Order: sequence, then structure tokens, then C-alpha cells
Amino acid sequence: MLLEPLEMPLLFGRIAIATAALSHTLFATIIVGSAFMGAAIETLGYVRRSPAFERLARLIGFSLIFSTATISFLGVILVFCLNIFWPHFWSTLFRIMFWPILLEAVFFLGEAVFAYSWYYSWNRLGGSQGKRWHIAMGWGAAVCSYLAMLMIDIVASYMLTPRAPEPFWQVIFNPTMAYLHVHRVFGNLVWTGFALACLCAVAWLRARASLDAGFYRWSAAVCVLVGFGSLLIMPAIGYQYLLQLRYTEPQAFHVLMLGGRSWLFNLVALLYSLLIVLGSWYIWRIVRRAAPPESVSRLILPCSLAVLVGAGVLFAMPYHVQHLPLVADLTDAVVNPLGKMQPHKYFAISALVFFGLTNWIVLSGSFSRHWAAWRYDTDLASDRTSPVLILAIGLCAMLTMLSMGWARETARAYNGYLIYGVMTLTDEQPTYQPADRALSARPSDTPP
Amino acid sequence: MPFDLSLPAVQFPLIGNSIAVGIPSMLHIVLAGLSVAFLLWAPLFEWRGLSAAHFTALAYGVTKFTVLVFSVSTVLAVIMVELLIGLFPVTTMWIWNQFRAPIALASTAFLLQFAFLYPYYHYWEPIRRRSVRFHIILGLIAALLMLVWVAVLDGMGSYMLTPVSGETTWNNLWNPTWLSLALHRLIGEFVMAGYVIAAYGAWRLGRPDASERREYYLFLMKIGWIGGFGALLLQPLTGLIYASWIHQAAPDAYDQIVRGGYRLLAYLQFTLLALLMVGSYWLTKGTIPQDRLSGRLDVAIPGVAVLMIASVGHTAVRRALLYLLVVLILWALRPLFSNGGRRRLFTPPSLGPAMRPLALALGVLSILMYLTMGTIRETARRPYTVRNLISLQDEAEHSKASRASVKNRESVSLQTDTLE
Repeated sequence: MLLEPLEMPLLFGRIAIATAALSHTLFATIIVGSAFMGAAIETLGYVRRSPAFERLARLIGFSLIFSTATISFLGVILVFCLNIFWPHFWSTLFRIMFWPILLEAVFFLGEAVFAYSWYYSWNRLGGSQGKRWHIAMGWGAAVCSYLAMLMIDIVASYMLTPRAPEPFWQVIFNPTMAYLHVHRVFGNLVWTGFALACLCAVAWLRARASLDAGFYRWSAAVCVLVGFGSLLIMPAIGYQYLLQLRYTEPQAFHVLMLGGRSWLFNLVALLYSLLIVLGSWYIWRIVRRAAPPESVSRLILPCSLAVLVGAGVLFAMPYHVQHLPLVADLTDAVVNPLGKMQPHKYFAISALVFFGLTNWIVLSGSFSRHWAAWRYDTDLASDRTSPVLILAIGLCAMLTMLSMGWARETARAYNGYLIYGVMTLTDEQPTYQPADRALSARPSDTPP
Repeated sequence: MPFDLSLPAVQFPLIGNSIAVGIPSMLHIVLAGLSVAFLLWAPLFEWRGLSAAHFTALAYGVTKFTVLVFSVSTVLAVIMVELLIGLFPVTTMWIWNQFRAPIALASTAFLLQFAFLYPYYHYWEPIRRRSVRFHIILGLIAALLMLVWVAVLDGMGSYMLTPVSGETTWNNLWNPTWLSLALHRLIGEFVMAGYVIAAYGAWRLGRPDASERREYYLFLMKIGWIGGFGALLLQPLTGLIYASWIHQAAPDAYDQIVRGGYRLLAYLQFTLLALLMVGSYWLTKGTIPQDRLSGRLDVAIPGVAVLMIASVGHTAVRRALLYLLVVLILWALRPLFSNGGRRRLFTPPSLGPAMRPLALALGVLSILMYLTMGTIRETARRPYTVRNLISLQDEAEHSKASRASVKNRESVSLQTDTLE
């Protein structure tokens, strides 16, 4: 490659790329999730003739176009960073992944066109026929964003489990592609559901009219329902993903589960547990306020919450204690027997999912007509804890997204790879410090 | 290495690499060029709106356009950049490496621009209710930040034609044609934006629902025409400055533009310029009081325009005819410089049946001229992608070299294994 060395430590480039990639990812995932949620909620509103669903869909539409604008700019920044800081890696990967990356951009263009048309034609398309066209535009945005994500998942999974570039089908269907994709589909719904719930919670806290406060309280619950429900599916998919990684790249699997980055996986476990516990606490607050006196949920929720706290603590426990940052200074213990995956953590995650699911069913039940949960006049002003809880859940969800992304990337980088097993970080060294003069020569200086 | 990651260079099917990059680039620069001009004009319109309500509506309209097309335009830029990386990797990596510090500044400015543009548009009324002046300042800051981004991109574009070997990446920005290109492009964006506003007004006038806002659409035609035509009259001057710098820094590139293999583009450019000038004159004819000179000017203006097109290869003659054309048109339009003349512009009695189609055609012509300008600059470098530094041949050789280097490594590794 014909580039002037950057004359800076490689670490700077790693930090720049990580920052650009993680901020890009946060908004990109919201796009996919909010496009689907927006389209689905508008469809529900149309079928049920519900103005509240319609209003919520419009709110989601706004967040979608705002994210679309931001993500398109952050995407440009990411591409800039990759070109400047990792040109060898990026040009190699780009040549292999030319069509998926190009198609991703084309589908994203489709998403932007549909999303903007969807949001800005809300009042213009009247009548039943017009409304159907409008809903179709929302689904157009959802399908395009989904396809764009599929393309990016092909690229991201390839970096961890690469195959020879030809034939191309084995590049696309590399061993972890399908698992990563499904994992991210639900991960997006978790993050988007909770992020939108946070938006509603902020609006709820700021609302002056009780009608508005009531609407935002209801909207936040709908979004939590989506996020919390998707959260419960994640362990099963994540388990399959890790299993596949274990068979394909055992060294990367080891780094995450028992090796130097196992603390990061423990962090993910801790955040997951917090999400389930805080979510259940939020549901308990709804139950306390609005469940009919004879409802069995008044009995189930406190017990469930107690079990979840115990299971959460167990699930987040580390096994190799010495891998935790700073812990080596405090104790000489090498392993924590309670943090063993089998059987302790399996029991813990089972409990988290089972009791979490129970609570989710209770939350779903709160939308039934027998409950007074969503009447606009019930103790709106006094309840400041519920929106704050939702904000805490949103923060945990964001940290989970960031740490999961980091975990996947570090599974490669910890072993020194940019593309697992075939391209190392040291291959990028000439970008930072010249290995020899030829690397910084201009093309015109090269003899024919 | 368990397997070889190198692949042959990507060849875009059917249309080839250059056209594949060209299509999204052109779509992008039309939207981006309009957005830049609109963003710069919006606070000015809003300021004028303090005394005339239609200006406020126009300021809101152009800002809305900018925000609406923002994502589409940016995604087109992403597609363009991705195609550049995939199809012209050596040039792309090289140029970005040469501009890494200015790119960091431009990206920061662009990101900050969001912080001003979004409240400017999405909280238009709430902010204006508190302070109109504060709202205008928000728009101005967004526009200035956008200019930083545009200036850096112009620096990269001009560097590809007239590169310098700067000690730092900032020096690369300061290449001979940077400022003249930035000025010429900016005025070109004003030309396009003005005629597009006029064309939009003309289009809306012909819609069935136009009667309610007829006055506003006529206002759009008038302001758009004034903005576009005013900028068009400046273009010969900015073009002369730009051409002089190209001639000075890269004489062979200048010759290639007017006499080289792509000279047809120069003919096309001057044809479009002539059509815009003559069309702009005809658009205002109903407004201008006719006198004994009018008939002669009706013949002289198109005549000089035709001669100008014919003399594209003869720089001195063409320039003289271009300035003569500008003088003739200004002379013909002198009644408009009075207050009464401006008021008559595009008012119903002077608005003939041909005016709407003509305004629409001028809008299209202005876009085509903007695109042709960009294409001419790109072709002036051929066969280089960065003049005298990286050629199309280098792009092809790079792929072969990387494949050969992998094969060499494999062969060395095989020999070592055999020896062992």
C-alpha cells in the first residue's frame, strides 16, 4: 500500500475506530428496531382504530428519521476512520465484501427514502386506501433496514469466522453468519424497545397535561413490553451462537468464556441480570398500582423479584477471579466455584428467563380491560419512580449493546487478529510506522 | 496464512467502474449542492422575512428541503465512497491519508452543524416565538459549519487536479486551485439553487391547488430568478479566476479541457451556459418595456451566444464573446434595476403562457450545467486519478501486485517447508 505512515501509536487508531464503530452501531440498531416497531404499531393502530397507537407510531417515526440522519453521517465517519487508520485491513476486507457492503448502502438508501416518505406523508395520505399505502411505506422502510443489516452481519461474522474468498457463497454463509444475524435482530428489538421507552419516560416526566403524561406512560409500557420480551429470547440464541463459535474458533471462544476477556462476558451477564431485575421491578410497580385485588399477579411478582435478584447475582459471578481487573491485588484466589457455568450459571439463566417470562406475561395482561393500569387519571403526578426505572433500564440496555459489540470484536483483537486467523493487527503496523521506504513511496516513484 | 485473501480487482458489470462511481456521485452532488446553497440562504431569507412574510415561508421551505434530503444525500455519498474504495482503492486510500487532519476538522464541523440545524428546523416556531434573531443566528452558524465541510471537500477535489507535496496535511489543502474552485462551485450552487426555486414556483403555479397561494409561487419564481440569474452573471468572473489558476498550475490539464479528448464536454458546458443566459433574458421579456433597441437585442443576444459556443476552442475569442453577452443582457435588463421594474417582474400581466415551461426548463438546465462542471473537472485529470501521482494504470497494477506478492509469499513458504 502506498501511504505515508501516520507516525502515531496503533492504539490511537484502535480507539478512533472503536469510538466510531460503537456510536454508529448504537444508532444503526435503533433504525432496524424502530422501523419494525413503527410499522407494526401503525398497523395495529389501523386494525384496532386506536389513536394512541397511531400517535406512538408517529413518535417512533420521528426517532427513526432522526436516527437515519445521524447514522448516515456516523457511517461516513466510520468509513473515513477505517480508511485512514486501518487501510490494509479495510481494502482487503472491502475487496472480499464489495457486493454485500455496496448492497448494504443501497438498502440503506431505500430505508431512508421509505422512512422519510413515511414520516412526512403522515397527514397527506388520507382515507382507507391512503392509509394502507402509508403503512406499506413503513413496512418498506422496515424491510430495507432489515436487508441492510443482513448485509452488514455477513461482513461482521466473516471477520470472526472467515473462509477462503472464493467461492463466494462460503463467504456469505460463513459459520457464524446466521447465528450473529438472529442474535442481532432480537438484540436490536431489545435496545430499540428500551431506548424508545426512555424517550417516552422523559416525555412522561416533562409532560404538563395529564392526558399527555398518561399517553407517555402507556407508550413507555408498550415499548418495555417489546424490549423485555425480546430480551427473554436472547440467551437461547446467544447460547447457539457461542456454541458455533466454540466449534469454529475455539481460541476466540476461550478468550471470552475463561480467558483474558472473560470479565467482559461477566459484565454482559451482570447487565443482562440488571435488565431483567429492573424490568421486573417496573412491572411490579404497575401491578401494585393497577392489578385487581384478587389478581394472582400480586402474589407472583414479589416472589419472582426475589428469585430474580438471587439468580442475577449468581449469573454475573466470575469463575476465573484473576481475570477481573484489579482483583489480583485483593485476593490470591484463582477461581470462584460459584461462578462455574455448569451447573450454576445454567440454573441462574434458566431462572432469569422463566421468572422474567412470567413477569412479561403479567405485563401483557395489564393491557387487558380488567386492569386500570392505563387510565390517564391514576396517580400520574406522584409516580416519578417508574420513569426513572425505565431510564435506568435504557442505560443498562445501551451498556449491554456496547459491551456485547466489544466482546465480539475483542474475541478477535485479543488474539491479535483483524480477520481471524488470516490478518493480524501487526499487518497494519506500516500504516503507523514505516517498515521500509517502499511502503511510503508514491506510485509514480515505483519503477515500471 | 491458512488461505489467500487477495482477489482480482473488482470490475463493475455492464457500465464499468467510472460510470458506476459517476452515477451516485452526480445524484449526490445535485442534492448536496442544493442543500449547501439553501442552508446559506435560509438565514438570509429569514432575516428579510422580518419585513416581508413570504421570505420567512421561503426560509422554512428551503430548510425543510435540506433536512428532508439530508439522509438520502448522505447515503448517496456513502455509496459513492464505498464504490471508490472498492473500485479505486489506491487513489481513495492515498487521498484520505493525505487529508486526514482536515477531514477530522471537517467531520467535527459537520457533526456540530447537526446541533444547530436540527433545532433550527424542528423547533422553528418555538425558538422564533422567543427570539427571531437567535433563530437566525442558529441558522447562520449551521451554514458556516457546513461551509467548513464543503471547503475541505473542495480542497480534496482541487488537490486531485493540482497536487502539492505539502509538509503537513494542511499544506495539501492549500493547493493552487483550492480557493478558486471553492468560489466557483459555491456560486454554481447558487445558480442551481436559484433556478430550482424558480422552477418549483413555476411548477406549483400550474397545479390545480395553486389558486390559494398563487402570490407566493410568483414570489418564488421572482426570488429564484433573481438569485439564480445574479449568480449566473458572476460565474464568468469566478470561472475566469479558476481557469487562470488551472492554466498556471497545470497548463496541460487546461489544454485537455478545451482541446483534449473530452472537449465535447466544454462545448456542452458553454451551450448550457448560453441557453441559461438567453432563457433568463426571454423569461423577463414581458416585464421589460419595449423600445427601438429591443428588437435588435432579441437578435444580438442569441447571435452572440451561438458565436460563443462556436469559439470554445479559442479561449480569448470565447471569453470576449462571453463578456459581451453578459453586457448585452445587463443592458437589456436595465429597466429592472429600478424599483418599479422589480415590482413588475413575474406579475400576472407580464406572465405569458410560455413562462412556466421556460422557468421549468431553466431549472433543469441549471442542474445539468452544475453536473457538467463537475464532470469536466474530473476528466481534466485523465488518465490520472491524482494528477501526475496516481493513474488508472496504477489502480490496475495494484491488484496484480498484491496477488503476485501473495503468490511469492506462498512460494517462499513452500520452499522453506521443502528444505525443512
